[in-house]
Amino acid sequence: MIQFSTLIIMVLILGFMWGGLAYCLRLAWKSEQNDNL
Amino acid sequence: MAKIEQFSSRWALLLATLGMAIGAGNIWRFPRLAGEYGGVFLIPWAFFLILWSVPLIMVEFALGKKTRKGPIGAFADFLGKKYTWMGGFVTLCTMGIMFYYSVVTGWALKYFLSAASGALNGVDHSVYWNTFTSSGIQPVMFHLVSITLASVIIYQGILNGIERANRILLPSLLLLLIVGAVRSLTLDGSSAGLEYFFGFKTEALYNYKMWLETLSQSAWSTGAGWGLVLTYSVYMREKEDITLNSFLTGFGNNSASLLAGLVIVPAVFALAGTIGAVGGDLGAEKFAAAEAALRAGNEGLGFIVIPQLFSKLPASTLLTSFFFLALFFAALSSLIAMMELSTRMLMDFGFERRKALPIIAVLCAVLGIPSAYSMTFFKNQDWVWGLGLIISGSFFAFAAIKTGVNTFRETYLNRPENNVHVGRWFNVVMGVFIPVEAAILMLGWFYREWDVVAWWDPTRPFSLATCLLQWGTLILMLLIFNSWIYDRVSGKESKA
Repeated sequence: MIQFSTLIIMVLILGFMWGGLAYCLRLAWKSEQNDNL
Repeated sequence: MAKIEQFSSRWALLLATLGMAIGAGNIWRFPRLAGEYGGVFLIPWAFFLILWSVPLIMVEFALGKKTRKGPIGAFADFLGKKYTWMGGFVTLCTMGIMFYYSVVTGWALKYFLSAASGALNGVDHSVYWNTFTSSGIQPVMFHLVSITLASVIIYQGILNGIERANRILLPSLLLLLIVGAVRSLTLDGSSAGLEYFFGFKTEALYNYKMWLETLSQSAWSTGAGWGLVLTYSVYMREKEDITLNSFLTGFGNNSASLLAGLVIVPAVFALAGTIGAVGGDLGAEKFAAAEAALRAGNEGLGFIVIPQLFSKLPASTLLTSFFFLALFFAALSSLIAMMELSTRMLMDFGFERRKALPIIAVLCAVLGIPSAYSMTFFKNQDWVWGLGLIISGSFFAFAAIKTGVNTFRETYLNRPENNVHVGRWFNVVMGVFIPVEAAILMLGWFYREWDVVAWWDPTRPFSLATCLLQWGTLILMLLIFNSWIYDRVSGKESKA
């Protein structure tokens, strides 16, 4: 059974890294779309 | 001067940069450390991404894009003649790593072939590994095959070689890691691994080794300060962004590390009770077996424990093959970047790619042989040049500091083509944090490996003296030939 504090760290770390990556990819995608217009 | 090739798009540049950054260290070093220290390790590791890796990647991108030369030419053009040797150190330090990294790539290839052919089934993995590494001829042969594969790719150039290879290698690597993570997380007992991976162990906070390891992992894993990002940025389009690409490289690399951790740590905990003499289902014994497995060292975890654990699963041949194929792809895409850096160096000296590459391939083949033959030599080189990367990183920070961190930020980072505005935080990180971190890393590692009796003995693989001797010899040679090197990379040799 996973403890609550472990769950919080897991969400924070995965959220920061994977969320950060997803956010940067979205910015890059939008920038490329604008360049192509 | 021939027109420099360019990556066809931002995505092509990013795939190459991520292929460079995501290497063997993400797959065997990160899970081992994260497993050892738990969630306490992961929090500073996330902060150091911003406090070390991303700013240095920005500096590398900026130098490569401005000068369109490899590290030696970039330092010569950007900082002036008397700093050319710094670019030389960055280049030769990464080449020092390349000479043994091709051996690691060869190990991964050998194990992939062994796993796929079923040769790993039913063997004693410890004996298999020791027999392989001590056989001499086999590690050398696979080291040569790895160099040949990387050379064939680089020979085709940026567009047809490096870009095309990374379009296949990186997505395949990520797919293999995702499949592995899903399998690992669906094993009975994998939640114990998650608890261990993300659990907050307060005692680790007071362990200086944890802080040293977390900063080191950030420094080594993203490729910041190696000169490899700089090399790829030579081929970036003029309108290409620097700042957002730096964040993407950092976040992408660390996301892949987490994925690798989710493959290995839960699997180790789910299966640890099934290995060796420690077997059994008792919680404490199983836990101890899992901890012991994670502390088996990089090679021990990657080449002994993982195949041993995966052999207990249904479809173990397929799963083990996937793991080593992922490791091979990760290592090969990083080896390609290192060989391209070396090739770029000779191209800056006036060689054509097709003449420069065979020279580098032969050099790599010959100078990698001692590491393929001797694990002691391999570990010595890993220690000396791995630590040398801290010096390389400091040189990039020096380039920004000498320019003036604010001037550097406004002139090279906050340009119209860059997608993210870099705030004043960059000035503080580059001007204060990175020099302090570099000093802490250097002193911390020497303290950790300090040998009271024989620190002065350069024949000891982990002594202070072996580092000072090898770095000192390199720096001395570079200083002696500084003017000669500068004249050649700056195209002034005919006037000299």
